[in-house]
Parts: sequence; structure tokens; C-alpha cells
Amino acid sequence: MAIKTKESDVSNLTFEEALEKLEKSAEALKKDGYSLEDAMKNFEEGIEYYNYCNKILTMAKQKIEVYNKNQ
Amino acid sequence: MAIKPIKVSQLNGYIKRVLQSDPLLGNVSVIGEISNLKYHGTGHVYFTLKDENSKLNCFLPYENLKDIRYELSDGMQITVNGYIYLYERGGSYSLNVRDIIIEGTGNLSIAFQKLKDKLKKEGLFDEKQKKKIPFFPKKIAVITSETGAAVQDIIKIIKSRNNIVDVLIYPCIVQGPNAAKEISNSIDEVNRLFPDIDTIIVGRGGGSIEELWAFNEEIVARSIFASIIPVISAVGHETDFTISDFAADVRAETPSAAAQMAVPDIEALKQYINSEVMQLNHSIENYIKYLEIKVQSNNIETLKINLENRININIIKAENLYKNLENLVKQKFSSYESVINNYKTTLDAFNPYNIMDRGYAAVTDEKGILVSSIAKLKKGDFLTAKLKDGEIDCKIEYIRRIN
Repeated sequence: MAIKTKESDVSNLTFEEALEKLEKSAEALKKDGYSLEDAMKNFEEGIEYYNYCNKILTMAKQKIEVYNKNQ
Repeated sequence: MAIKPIKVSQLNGYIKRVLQSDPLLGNVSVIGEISNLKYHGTGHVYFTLKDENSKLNCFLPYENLKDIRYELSDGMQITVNGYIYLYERGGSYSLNVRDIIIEGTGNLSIAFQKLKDKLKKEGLFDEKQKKKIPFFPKKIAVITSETGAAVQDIIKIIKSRNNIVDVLIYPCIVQGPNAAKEISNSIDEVNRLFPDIDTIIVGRGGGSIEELWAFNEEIVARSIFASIIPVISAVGHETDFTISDFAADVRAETPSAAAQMAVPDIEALKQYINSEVMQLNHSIENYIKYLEIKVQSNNIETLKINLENRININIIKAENLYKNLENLVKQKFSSYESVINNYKTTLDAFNPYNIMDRGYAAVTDEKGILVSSIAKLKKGDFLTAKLKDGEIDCKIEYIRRIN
């Protein structure tokens, strides 16, 4: 249940926000003085942000259109 | 043919009709230098156009001023288009201005500088007003000529970097008398019709200062400034600076550079997030390894070994202490030994039996006490004489005193 809510939270983020959170997770794990629970939580969240960023970066659906002012 | 005298107003009225019915004077272009430029409180502009020999009063009504593409300045060489108008009450005529054309780099530079100073003073270029260009836009609009080189360059760069962002090309003429109005309207329209656009690129490829002039016009600068969507201005080449550039949130040196700023490179981003996730994996592995080592260092086997080690260390310590003690005792003993031996030597030296070898005897009384004087002896006492190899019990017969 809890994980489900978190997932929907992630997909509400912009790419920039998710990237920033991924960076923070990676940075936080480098530091000392973490409990195992915190470290695992951090890691799992980081992976989630990564997956989300990756999903955005791999969904190529570009649209290039010319606006028709007379339409 | 003489006519009868008429009133001043009748004459002026007549001249007005003559002047204003003349086809040439109804649409005339005049070249001259601006002097006595005055912006009136009503919004109208008055100035004198002059050449080396003559002067012409000019009137630029407020409703025409907004169509003038240049900031005017005394000393500027201009071409004025308009019609001759007679002001009946003052009996003076002037050129009523419809349009003004400015040519030549020198004159245009003056107009450029004047507008730049004016808008700067108004705060249109303030750094604190600049919006941040979104790092990861979903949709961007490109306001430029549909047929120009700029649009091709921009699309090429965007496609090479990013296959996610949507691009809306918003066609618009970018040079000529109507360009500024169209560019300005396009910026306003994109803001109104496409509020989901993240970034606007407005610009064009290289050209002469006259060709780029639309981007030096006030209405374009004002629309850029008013845009809620962040604007990148990309006009001409690296060396071309326009008023639009100053009013925009960011100036790009060229349209290609604008495209580069507007969208992130997806491949580079993929690499970056992969390196971040590797870091994440690496960190958690290290952390878990560290915890494993910590756990292992606390199991029963290790504790046992640690305890045994400690016991062994203490045993060795005790043994060493014992050895030290032993040595100390031995030393003590040997030092006593040597003391005793010394006494022995002394004793040997004074051994009374030694002199018995030479014929002396030791005399003791009945209690075994050595007798060294005859003072307390008397006849009949028993004495014992100790010799080298035995004793003789004796009875005193006679005592001879030596004086």
C-alpha cells in the first residue's frame, strides 16, 4: 500500500525534480552514520527516481508541428 | 485679375484647400535632419526637419507614433513620409507625418542606443526580472520565419539532442515594416493560446542591420518582457546584439545556440543518470559489506578466539612476571651469598684453630668461656686447654703472675 502511494508520488514529479532527488539519494548514501533502514530506504527511492527518469528519457514521442494561423 | 479684399481666415482657408488638394503634397517623402525634437504631453511629437538651407515643421500625431519603428533623436538623418497640412489659426503649414524611415548604420545606431537607454531606465533589462529557462521542457515554441535558415538550424539541433520535446513552429515574418508587429503579436498569441509551452525561442538568421531591425523595435521588446513563458532571443550572428536580446530572459548567440540552450541532450542525461544509479548501487553494496564485516566480527567463534587470545596474552604476561620475580630472587640470593662469602673469608682469616697449628692453645673455664687473664683464677680451678686435635682438662696447681 505504502509503496503504491509513493509510486504515484514519483510520477507526479517533473523530470528535473526526479533527477534532483536521484542525485540527493546517491549523495546521501555516500555519507556515513546511516541506519540500515535509512540506507535501504534511500537506495530504494533512488532506484525509483532512476527508473522514472529513465522512463522519461526513453519514451521518444517527439512532435514537431507548424502552427497554421488560418485554421 | 484683382479680387476684392478678403479676410485672413478666408485666405488661409483658400491656401489650405489649394495645398491639400495638390496630389504631390498629399503624399510626399522628404529627406532631412531632425532638430528641435519635442515629445508633447498629449503624446504628439513635434520636430523640425532641416537641410543646409531650409527648414520644415513636422507634426507626428500620437496615433501614428506607435507605427514608427525607430527611436528618434536630434541630428538623425531621416526620410519622412506624410502630407502637407495647414494650421489655419496659426497660418502655418507643417508636414503631417505618416511614417519615418531611417537608413545608414550611424543613424540606426543612434536609434538603437536611444531605445536601449530608454528601456533600460524602465527596467525591461533588469536581471531580477529574468526568468529561468526550464531545464527539461516538454514543449517549446519557435517564433521565426517558416522559410528561413534559422528554423532549419533549430530543428536540426533539437533533433540531434532531444527526441522527447515537442516543437511548435510559430511562423512569422521577421523583416520589413510589419515584422515587428507580427513578432510581437506572435509572442502574445503563444502566451495566450499555448500556456503549456515551456520556452519560446524568438529570432532569425543573420542579415544586415536593416534586416534585423524588427528585433530592435520597442513593441517586440515589450512583448518579450511581458511574456509569461521564458524567452530566448536568437537574432543573427554572435556579433549582432539587438534590443530583443536585452529584453529576453536569455540571449543566444545564434539560433543554433538557442536550440542548444532550450533542450537538454538526452544521451548525456541517460549517461548521467546511469552513473548516478551505479553510484547508488556501489554505495549500498559498500554499506552492506561494511555491515556484514561488522556482524561477522561479533559472532561466537570470533568472540571465542578473541577471548582465547586475551587469556593467552594474560598467561604470557603472568609468566613473564613470574620469571622476573624468579630473577629478582636469584639476584637477591647471589648478593647475600657474596656477603656471606666475604664474612667467611674474614672468619677464616681470624680462625683461632689456625694458630693452634703453631702450638697455641685456647683455655676455657668450666663454663666454656675463653680465659684471657689470670685475674679471676685461683688454685684448684678446673680449666680446659683446646689444642688442634683435642682438649686437655687441667687443674690449677700454682698461679704465677707476670709483672
